Amino acid sequence: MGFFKSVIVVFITVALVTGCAVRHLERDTLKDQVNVFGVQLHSDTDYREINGIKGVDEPCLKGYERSFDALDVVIGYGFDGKVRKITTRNPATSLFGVRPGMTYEEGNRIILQYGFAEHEQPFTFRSNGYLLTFLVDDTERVFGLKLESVD
Amino acid sequence: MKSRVLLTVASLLVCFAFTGNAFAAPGTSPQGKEVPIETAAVKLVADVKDGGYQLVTTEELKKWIDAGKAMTIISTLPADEDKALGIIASAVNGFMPKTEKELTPVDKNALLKAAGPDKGKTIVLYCGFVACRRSHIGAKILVENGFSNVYRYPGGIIAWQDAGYQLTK
Repeated sequence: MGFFKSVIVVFITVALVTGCAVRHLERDTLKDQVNVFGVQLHSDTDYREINGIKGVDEPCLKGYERSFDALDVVIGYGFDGKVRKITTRNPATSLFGVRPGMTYEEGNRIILQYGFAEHEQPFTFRSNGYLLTFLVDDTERVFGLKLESVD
Repeated sequence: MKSRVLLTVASLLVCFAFTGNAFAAPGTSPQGKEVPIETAAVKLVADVKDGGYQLVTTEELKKWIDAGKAMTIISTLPADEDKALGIIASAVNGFMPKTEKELTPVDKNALLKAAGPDKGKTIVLYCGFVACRRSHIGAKILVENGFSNVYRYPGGIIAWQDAGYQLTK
Protein backbone atom coordinates (compact mmCIF):
# COMPACT_ATOMS: atom_id res chain seq x y z
CA MET A 1 0.00 0.00 0.00
CA GLY A 2 2.90 2.34 0.92
CA PHE A 3 4.45 1.57 -2.45
CA PHE A 4 1.27 2.57 -4.29
CA LYS A 5 1.01 5.78 -2.27
CA SER A 6 4.62 6.60 -3.18
CA VAL A 7 3.91 5.94 -6.86
CA ILE A 8 0.86 8.23 -6.76
CA VAL A 9 2.83 10.99 -4.99
CA VAL A 10 5.67 10.70 -7.53
CA PHE A 11 3.17 10.68 -10.41
CA ILE A 12 1.37 13.81 -9.16
CA THR A 13 4.67 15.61 -8.52
CA VAL A 14 5.96 14.78 -12.00
CA ALA A 15 2.65 15.86 -13.55
CA LEU A 16 2.72 19.19 -11.70
CA VAL A 17 6.36 19.88 -12.50
CA THR A 18 6.07 19.00 -16.18
CA GLY A 19 2.79 20.92 -16.40
CA CYS A 20 4.55 24.05 -15.16
CA ALA A 21 7.49 23.44 -17.47
CA VAL A 22 5.23 23.10 -20.48
CA ARG A 23 3.43 26.27 -19.50
CA HIS A 24 6.68 28.24 -19.31
CA LEU A 25 7.89 26.73 -22.53
CA GLU A 26 4.70 28.00 -24.17
CA ARG A 27 5.40 31.55 -23.01
CA ASP A 28 9.01 31.38 -24.21
CA THR A 29 7.91 29.91 -27.52
CA LEU A 30 5.35 32.65 -27.81
CA LYS A 31 7.99 35.39 -27.49
CA ASP A 32 10.13 33.81 -30.19
CA GLN A 33 7.27 33.14 -32.57
CA VAL A 34 5.39 36.44 -32.51
CA ASN A 35 6.88 38.55 -35.26
CA VAL A 36 4.69 41.66 -35.40
CA PHE A 37 6.91 44.75 -35.21
CA GLY A 38 8.22 43.66 -31.82
CA VAL A 39 4.79 43.68 -30.17
CA GLN A 40 4.47 40.96 -27.54
CA LEU A 41 1.45 39.42 -25.88
CA HIS A 42 1.24 40.08 -22.09
CA SER A 43 3.59 43.07 -22.46
CA ASP A 44 2.70 46.24 -20.57
CA THR A 45 4.51 48.39 -23.15
CA ASP A 46 2.33 51.25 -24.32
CA TYR A 47 2.91 50.93 -28.08
CA ARG A 48 1.74 54.41 -29.12
CA GLU A 49 3.76 54.52 -32.33
CA ILE A 50 5.18 51.76 -34.52
CA ASN A 51 7.56 52.56 -37.39
CA GLY A 52 6.47 56.19 -37.24
CA ILE A 53 2.77 55.29 -37.48
CA LYS A 54 0.60 56.52 -34.63
CA GLY A 55 -2.10 54.22 -33.29
CA VAL A 56 -5.75 55.19 -32.96
CA ASP A 57 -7.58 53.98 -29.86
CA GLU A 58 -11.07 52.49 -29.93
CA PRO A 59 -12.92 51.40 -26.79
CA CYS A 60 -13.99 47.80 -26.32
CA LEU A 61 -15.69 45.82 -23.57
CA LYS A 62 -12.48 44.23 -22.29
CA GLY A 63 -10.30 47.35 -22.54
CA TYR A 64 -9.36 49.15 -25.73
CA GLU A 65 -7.86 48.45 -29.14
CA ARG A 66 -5.17 50.46 -30.87
CA SER A 67 -5.24 50.36 -34.68
CA PHE A 68 -2.24 51.03 -36.87
CA ASP A 69 -4.13 51.15 -40.16
CA ALA A 70 -1.11 51.84 -42.37
CA LEU A 71 0.56 48.72 -40.96
CA ASP A 72 -2.58 46.54 -40.90
CA VAL A 73 -1.97 45.79 -37.24
CA VAL A 74 -4.28 46.10 -34.23
CA ILE A 75 -3.17 45.72 -30.62
CA GLY A 76 -5.79 44.87 -28.02
CA TYR A 77 -5.12 46.07 -24.47
CA GLY A 78 -6.90 44.94 -21.33
CA PHE A 79 -7.97 47.42 -18.66
CA ASP A 80 -4.74 46.47 -16.84
CA GLY A 81 -2.73 48.00 -19.72
CA LYS A 82 -1.34 44.64 -20.88
CA VAL A 83 -1.44 43.42 -24.47
CA ARG A 84 -4.05 40.67 -24.66
CA LYS A 85 -4.61 40.47 -28.42
CA ILE A 86 -2.60 41.01 -31.60
CA THR A 87 -4.27 41.13 -35.01
CA THR A 88 -2.24 41.42 -38.19
CA ARG A 89 -3.04 41.49 -41.89
CA ASN A 90 0.49 42.53 -42.82
CA PRO A 91 2.31 39.91 -44.97
CA ALA A 92 5.64 41.09 -43.51
CA THR A 93 4.57 39.82 -40.08
CA SER A 94 4.03 36.28 -38.85
CA LEU A 95 2.72 34.28 -35.92
CA PHE A 96 4.36 30.89 -35.41
CA GLY A 97 5.69 31.08 -38.95
CA VAL A 98 2.24 31.62 -40.45
CA ARG A 99 2.02 34.76 -42.58
CA PRO A 100 -0.97 36.56 -44.08
CA GLY A 101 -1.03 35.47 -47.70
CA MET A 102 -0.40 31.76 -47.06
CA THR A 103 -3.00 29.18 -47.96
CA TYR A 104 -5.07 27.85 -45.08
CA GLU A 105 -3.72 24.37 -45.76
CA GLU A 106 -0.13 25.59 -45.30
CA GLY A 107 -0.97 27.56 -42.17
CA ASN A 108 -2.90 24.66 -40.70
CA ARG A 109 0.02 22.27 -41.24
CA ILE A 110 2.48 24.68 -39.58
CA ILE A 111 0.35 25.61 -36.59
CA LEU A 112 -0.45 22.03 -35.61
CA GLN A 113 3.31 21.44 -35.23
CA TYR A 114 3.36 24.03 -32.44
CA GLY A 115 0.95 22.05 -30.31
CA PHE A 116 -2.14 24.05 -31.22
CA ALA A 117 -5.32 22.01 -31.53
CA GLU A 118 -8.33 22.79 -33.69
CA HIS A 119 -11.04 24.70 -31.81
CA GLU A 120 -14.81 24.34 -32.26
CA GLN A 121 -14.92 27.69 -34.10
CA PRO A 122 -13.82 27.37 -37.73
CA PHE A 123 -10.23 28.32 -38.59
CA THR A 124 -9.42 28.73 -34.89
CA PHE A 125 -6.80 26.90 -32.82
CA ARG A 126 -6.22 26.70 -29.09
CA SER A 127 -3.19 26.01 -26.94
CA ASN A 128 -2.71 26.56 -23.21
CA GLY A 129 -4.77 29.70 -22.78
CA TYR A 130 -4.09 31.11 -26.23
CA LEU A 131 -6.52 31.33 -29.12
CA LEU A 132 -5.21 31.77 -32.65
CA THR A 133 -7.68 32.61 -35.40
CA PHE A 134 -6.90 32.56 -39.10
CA LEU A 135 -8.93 35.11 -41.07
CA VAL A 136 -9.60 33.13 -44.24
CA ASP A 137 -11.09 34.45 -47.50
CA ASP A 138 -13.22 32.76 -50.18
CA THR A 139 -10.16 31.26 -51.84
CA GLU A 140 -9.05 29.53 -48.59
CA ARG A 141 -6.20 32.00 -48.22
CA VAL A 142 -5.21 33.40 -44.82
CA PHE A 143 -5.55 37.19 -45.08
CA GLY A 144 -5.06 37.86 -41.38
CA LEU A 145 -4.18 36.33 -38.04
CA LYS A 146 -5.46 37.04 -34.55
CA LEU A 147 -3.69 35.81 -31.43
CA GLU A 148 -5.29 36.38 -28.05
CA SER A 149 -4.78 35.40 -24.48
CA VAL A 150 -7.91 33.82 -23.09
CA ASP A 151 -6.74 33.30 -19.49
CA MET B 1 -35.66 70.81 20.38
CA LYS B 2 -37.74 69.05 17.75
CA SER B 3 -37.71 72.13 15.49
CA ARG B 4 -33.91 72.38 15.83
CA VAL B 5 -33.51 68.79 14.69
CA LEU B 6 -35.83 69.38 11.74
CA LEU B 7 -33.92 72.55 10.83
CA THR B 8 -30.60 70.70 10.97
CA VAL B 9 -31.91 67.84 8.81
CA ALA B 10 -33.38 70.32 6.27
CA SER B 11 -30.09 72.26 6.15
CA LEU B 12 -28.16 69.05 5.56
CA LEU B 13 -30.54 68.03 2.76
CA VAL B 14 -30.19 71.44 1.06
CA CYS B 15 -26.37 71.25 1.37
CA PHE B 16 -26.40 67.70 -0.04
CA ALA B 17 -28.61 68.78 -2.96
CA PHE B 18 -26.36 71.72 -3.81
CA THR B 19 -23.20 69.64 -3.44
CA GLY B 20 -24.71 67.01 -5.69
CA ASN B 21 -25.48 69.61 -8.33
CA ALA B 22 -21.99 71.03 -8.06
CA PHE B 23 -20.56 67.63 -9.10
CA ALA B 24 -22.96 67.12 -12.01
CA ALA B 25 -21.42 68.53 -15.18
CA PRO B 26 -23.50 70.05 -17.99
CA GLY B 27 -23.62 68.04 -21.20
CA THR B 28 -25.32 65.17 -23.02
CA SER B 29 -24.62 62.87 -20.10
CA PRO B 30 -23.92 64.35 -16.65
CA GLN B 31 -21.20 61.74 -16.06
CA GLY B 32 -19.89 61.66 -19.62
CA LYS B 33 -17.36 63.60 -21.58
CA GLU B 34 -18.70 65.49 -24.58
CA VAL B 35 -15.90 64.81 -27.09
CA PRO B 36 -16.21 60.98 -27.19
CA ILE B 37 -19.99 61.38 -27.28
CA GLU B 38 -19.67 63.71 -30.28
CA THR B 39 -17.21 61.35 -32.02
CA ALA B 40 -19.51 58.37 -31.52
CA ALA B 41 -22.59 60.36 -32.62
CA VAL B 42 -20.96 61.58 -35.83
CA LYS B 43 -19.76 58.05 -36.66
CA LEU B 44 -23.22 56.67 -35.93
CA VAL B 45 -24.90 59.13 -38.31
CA ALA B 46 -22.37 58.32 -41.06
CA ASP B 47 -22.83 54.57 -40.50
CA VAL B 48 -26.62 54.76 -40.58
CA LYS B 49 -26.50 56.69 -43.89
CA ASP B 50 -24.06 54.13 -45.27
CA GLY B 51 -25.86 51.07 -43.96
CA GLY B 52 -29.44 51.92 -44.91
CA TYR B 53 -30.91 50.39 -41.74
CA GLN B 54 -33.00 51.90 -38.94
CA LEU B 55 -32.22 52.58 -35.28
CA VAL B 56 -34.05 51.46 -32.18
CA THR B 57 -33.56 52.96 -28.71
CA THR B 58 -33.33 51.16 -25.40
CA GLU B 59 -36.88 52.08 -24.40
CA GLU B 60 -38.36 51.15 -27.77
CA LEU B 61 -36.59 47.79 -27.76
CA LYS B 62 -37.78 47.11 -24.20
CA LYS B 63 -41.37 47.87 -25.28
CA TRP B 64 -41.03 45.55 -28.28
CA ILE B 65 -39.73 42.73 -26.09
CA ASP B 66 -42.43 43.27 -23.44
CA ALA B 67 -45.12 43.33 -26.13
CA GLY B 68 -43.82 40.06 -27.59
CA LYS B 69 -43.13 41.58 -30.99
CA ALA B 70 -42.05 38.98 -33.54
CA MET B 71 -38.39 39.68 -34.18
CA THR B 72 -34.94 38.16 -34.17
CA ILE B 73 -32.39 39.79 -31.89
CA ILE B 74 -28.77 39.20 -32.85
CA SER B 75 -25.76 39.84 -30.64
CA THR B 76 -22.74 40.63 -32.80
CA LEU B 77 -20.33 40.28 -29.90
CA PRO B 78 -17.95 37.31 -29.72
CA ALA B 79 -19.78 34.20 -28.49
CA ASP B 80 -17.54 33.90 -25.42
CA GLU B 81 -18.48 37.46 -24.38
CA ASP B 82 -22.16 36.58 -24.75
CA LYS B 83 -21.57 33.61 -22.46
CA ALA B 84 -19.62 35.66 -19.92
CA LEU B 85 -21.71 38.85 -19.90
CA GLY B 86 -25.14 37.60 -20.91
CA ILE B 87 -27.48 38.50 -23.77
CA ILE B 88 -30.52 40.73 -24.31
CA ALA B 89 -33.71 38.67 -24.14
CA SER B 90 -33.47 35.66 -26.46
CA ALA B 91 -30.70 36.98 -28.68
CA VAL B 92 -28.81 34.61 -30.95
CA ASN B 93 -25.14 35.04 -31.73
CA GLY B 94 -24.00 36.41 -35.06
CA PHE B 95 -20.43 37.48 -34.37
CA MET B 96 -19.10 40.38 -36.39
CA PRO B 97 -15.54 41.72 -36.27
CA LYS B 98 -14.81 45.30 -35.17
CA THR B 99 -13.83 46.42 -38.66
CA GLU B 100 -14.89 45.46 -42.18
CA LYS B 101 -11.27 44.60 -42.97
CA GLU B 102 -11.43 41.61 -40.63
CA LEU B 103 -14.73 40.26 -41.96
CA THR B 104 -14.51 36.68 -43.26
CA PRO B 105 -16.97 34.72 -45.43
CA VAL B 106 -17.50 32.39 -42.44
CA ASP B 107 -18.65 35.33 -40.26
CA LYS B 108 -20.95 36.60 -43.00
CA ASN B 109 -22.56 33.21 -43.61
CA ALA B 110 -23.06 32.61 -39.89
CA LEU B 111 -24.81 35.99 -39.58
CA LEU B 112 -27.14 35.24 -42.51
CA LYS B 113 -27.95 31.87 -40.93
CA ALA B 114 -28.71 33.57 -37.58
CA ALA B 115 -31.02 36.06 -39.31
CA GLY B 116 -33.04 33.22 -40.83
CA PRO B 117 -34.89 32.87 -44.14
CA ASP B 118 -37.68 35.44 -43.56
CA LYS B 119 -36.30 38.64 -45.08
CA GLY B 120 -39.33 40.70 -44.01
CA LYS B 121 -38.99 39.88 -40.32
CA THR B 122 -37.84 42.56 -37.87
CA ILE B 123 -34.20 41.99 -37.00
CA VAL B 124 -32.39 43.90 -34.27
CA LEU B 125 -28.60 43.83 -34.02
CA TYR B 126 -26.56 45.04 -31.09
CA CYS B 127 -23.06 44.96 -29.64
CA GLY B 128 -21.46 46.69 -26.67
CA PHE B 129 -22.12 50.41 -26.88
CA VAL B 130 -22.62 53.30 -29.31
CA ALA B 131 -18.98 53.48 -30.44
CA CYS B 132 -18.91 49.74 -31.19
CA ARG B 133 -19.32 49.12 -34.93
CA ARG B 134 -19.90 45.36 -34.95
CA SER B 135 -23.69 45.87 -35.11
CA HIS B 136 -23.27 48.34 -37.99
CA ILE B 137 -21.27 45.83 -40.02
CA GLY B 138 -23.90 43.15 -39.40
CA ALA B 139 -26.89 45.42 -40.11
CA LYS B 140 -25.32 46.60 -43.36
CA ILE B 141 -24.73 43.02 -44.52
CA LEU B 142 -28.36 42.12 -43.86
CA VAL B 143 -29.64 45.17 -45.79
CA GLU B 144 -27.32 44.31 -48.69
CA ASN B 145 -28.75 40.78 -48.67
CA GLY B 146 -32.35 41.92 -49.05
CA PHE B 147 -33.56 42.09 -45.42
CA SER B 148 -36.09 44.92 -45.24
CA ASN B 149 -36.68 45.50 -41.51
CA VAL B 150 -33.21 45.77 -40.08
CA TYR B 151 -32.67 47.76 -36.88
CA ARG B 152 -29.45 48.56 -35.08
CA TYR B 153 -29.65 49.03 -31.33
CA PRO B 154 -26.62 51.30 -30.84
CA GLY B 155 -26.63 51.49 -27.03
CA GLY B 156 -25.98 47.74 -26.80
CA ILE B 157 -25.51 45.87 -23.57
CA ILE B 158 -24.02 48.85 -21.74
CA ALA B 159 -27.09 51.05 -22.38
CA TRP B 160 -29.35 48.10 -21.60
CA GLN B 161 -27.74 47.70 -18.18
CA ASP B 162 -27.62 51.49 -17.66
CA ALA B 163 -31.40 51.50 -18.05
CA GLY B 164 -31.61 48.93 -15.27
CA TYR B 165 -32.55 45.99 -17.49
CA GLN B 166 -31.08 42.56 -16.97
CA LEU B 167 -28.99 40.50 -19.34
CA THR B 168 -29.87 36.82 -19.63
CA LYS B 169 -27.19 34.22 -18.96
